[in-house]
Amino acid sequence: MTDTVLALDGIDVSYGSTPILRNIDLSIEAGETVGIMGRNGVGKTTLMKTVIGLLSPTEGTVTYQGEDVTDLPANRRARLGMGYIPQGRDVFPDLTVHQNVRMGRSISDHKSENLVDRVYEYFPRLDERRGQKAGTVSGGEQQMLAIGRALAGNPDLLLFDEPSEGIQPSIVQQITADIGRMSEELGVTVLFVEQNLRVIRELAERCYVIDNGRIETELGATDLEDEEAVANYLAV
Amino acid sequence: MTALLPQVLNLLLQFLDSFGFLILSAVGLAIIFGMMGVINLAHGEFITVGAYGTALSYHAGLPLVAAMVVGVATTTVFGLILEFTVVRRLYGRLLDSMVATWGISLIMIQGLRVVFGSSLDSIGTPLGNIQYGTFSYSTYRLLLAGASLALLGALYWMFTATEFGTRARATIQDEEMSRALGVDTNRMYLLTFGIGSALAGLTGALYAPTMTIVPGMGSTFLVEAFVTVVVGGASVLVGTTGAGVLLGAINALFSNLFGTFAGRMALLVTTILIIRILPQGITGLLNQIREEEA
Amino acid sequence: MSFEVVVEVVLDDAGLDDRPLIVGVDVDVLFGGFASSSREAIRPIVDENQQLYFYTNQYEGGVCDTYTWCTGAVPEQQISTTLEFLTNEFGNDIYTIAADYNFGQITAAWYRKIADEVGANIMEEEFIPLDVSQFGSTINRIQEADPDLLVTLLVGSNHASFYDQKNAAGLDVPMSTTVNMAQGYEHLRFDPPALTDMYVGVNYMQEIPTDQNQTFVDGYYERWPDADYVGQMAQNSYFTTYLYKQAVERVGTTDQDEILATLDEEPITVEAPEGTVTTDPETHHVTHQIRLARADENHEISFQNQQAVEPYWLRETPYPGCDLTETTGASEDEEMTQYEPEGV
Repeated sequence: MTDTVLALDGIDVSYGSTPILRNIDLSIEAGETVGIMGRNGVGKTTLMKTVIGLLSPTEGTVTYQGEDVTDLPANRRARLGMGYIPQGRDVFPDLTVHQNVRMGRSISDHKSENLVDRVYEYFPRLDERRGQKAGTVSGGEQQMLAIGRALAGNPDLLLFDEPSEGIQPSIVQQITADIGRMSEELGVTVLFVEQNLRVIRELAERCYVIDNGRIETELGATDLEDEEAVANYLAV
Repeated sequence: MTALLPQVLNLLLQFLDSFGFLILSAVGLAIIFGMMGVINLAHGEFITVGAYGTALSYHAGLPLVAAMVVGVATTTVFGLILEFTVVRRLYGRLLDSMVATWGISLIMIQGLRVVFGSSLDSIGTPLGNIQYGTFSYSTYRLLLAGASLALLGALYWMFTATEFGTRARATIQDEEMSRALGVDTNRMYLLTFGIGSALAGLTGALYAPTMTIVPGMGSTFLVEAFVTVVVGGASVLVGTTGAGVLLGAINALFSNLFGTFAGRMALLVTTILIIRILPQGITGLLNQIREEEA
Repeated sequence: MSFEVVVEVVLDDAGLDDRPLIVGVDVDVLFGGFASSSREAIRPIVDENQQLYFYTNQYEGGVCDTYTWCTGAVPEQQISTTLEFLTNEFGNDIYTIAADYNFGQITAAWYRKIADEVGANIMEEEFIPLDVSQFGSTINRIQEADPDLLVTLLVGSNHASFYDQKNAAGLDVPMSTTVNMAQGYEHLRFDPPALTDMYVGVNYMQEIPTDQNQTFVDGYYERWPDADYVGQMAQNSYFTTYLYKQAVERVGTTDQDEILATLDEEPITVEAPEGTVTTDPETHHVTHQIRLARADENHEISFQNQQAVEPYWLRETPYPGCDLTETTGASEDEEMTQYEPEGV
């Protein structure tokens, strides 16, 4: 039997009366790194917020490690081991880098060990800036910080909303490498949203394609090797 | 020289007195406003509850300090109940929160009048006075100024050095992200409102021995509280402290030279000027300076 | 012939518009009003309807009105004899702190006027907004001026905090006022020694040690056992009812024109709890027995310097020159002026 970390079953989400997501089914097994791709405005961020619990679905269930968490608020879900890295990073600008990292510790507070020290091993640049206000570090560093913050609590599932957005290509590459390394070394399951082709192909073991609020198709490892086919899904 | 020294002392004591009153009046309001975007127009009545709790338990035979603890505890419990029943529904709804808390304030003033009558027996000011030159000054009022400084120190420690403080600040800065990191923001707001209430209660408890204890006594704190918060801006600690220093100095100087009325005018004129020149208050000014340096 | 006066209490929550009261109920006589603001709102309506009206609280003086009788004490009565006595006792330098609105301003002017008359000196006056409850700088300034007598014309609960703060600061100076104790029984409500050495010229306090008063006070508490204090307004309303009764008995009717006329013809005297009280037809005020009340450090009240004091000022000529015996009956356009002391 495989361990299903996350399963969405028939999820509908609306903003007011406008439906954003319709009948989403997906599931992720332990240790997998799964991508969700799609163009701007197709509902990728909404999907992430629905998983962490910042948005509530109008229909369907969210199951996390065998438990129905549909009615749990975000803070309860986070404590079950979900590490969320939002689009645009959302670091706490007036807290120091170190305080930001420590904020992540309440994720998986059932585990004895947190990974604050490991975070600084992965991101030595954060170590240098420990005492600095998070609002004053560069965009790339803020992205590292957002990852480090989620990682500090030793999560079972990392939810990653557009890691490449608004970041220099060189740093995108480094961050992509870091995520791959962490998933391997820590055995953390990763669900990420992305429209950068390279990042998707580098990270994802398989990938869901969203358009118009629905899952259009699912791409396996072999599909992902065909760069042109993947690019077609992202074309306008 | 001998005539000058007492005058300087006068000014200094006046400043401390004014500073203490501004800070203690404002701090509970500032925390609730700064953290939750709720303007608590019943803030003055929270202070009244603190004073009533103190006076009633003092007259029931408790020593003054214990009576003050009761006053603070009463206000805290009262604040928590109110948060749970009313205020919780008003987060982020500035105008609604003002109307609702104003209503609460009116109910409380009349409620206290109905239950306890038009006034309570006063508590005499303890600790005697100190003499200097031809002047003398109440020792207890010095203690009040000291208490305001200690309180600012304690709040600074709480906000910067404790886990709770970090989470509270994170919640102000990005509520959604805080929730996504496992912070129970509802509980955070409840606690914050509780702390704001406790501080209002403390103000009432501390000033109870210096004032006539009547249902409407809170209004005298409300003006100072609002002026301080407006001049200070959103930052609870830096803004409030800065406003306390600035307004306290201006009030002390003008009151001392030209009388209470002039002091009050100067206070309000300064506030109007600050709103005009620095809409974000002292907090805004400091942010500006910081950005220019960076 | 004797009449039984039936008193009907008409509660009026609207406060500042008493039109329905007079027009709707058709009363023989109107008593009421606690504050000058409500009295000044009542007067135009009373005059328009030619309604006999008794205002029984003490006030800042200056009302000269055909239909209005003010039976409380006024400043010239409360201040003249007491200020002379106090300056003789303590010295001539006076410092005044007063509430910054019409009562405080006008009464402070009265202290200036009477200080002039008795040769005393007002060193300084400070008017304090009603929402002020912290008096550190005021106390400082008083200490610096070092007066012989401090006149406190403070009003309301915020201002009441002054006394405690003054004592806590160690400011020790005899005080004089017209408002405290007789009305708000502050000597019982505030913890001693807040009002130590407070001197007030009063026409009545429940502590007045006469048999006549004792009978009244006993009767009052028998009727209202839960009352906190029998103040000057209670007593004024009490004897005013008897004044009215006498007037009714004299003319044999409750017809308002006839009663107004007889009140203006010759003075009426009643034995009030304070002592003998006599109406003054010229000014529509009354001659009171004024005593100088003093609170000691335990807030025990003692009285001295009792004198009958007429409401002498309003009829002084040329100003204000009030003579209401000339306008007996009805005048169509009653003047609404409230006179204030001039040239001080």
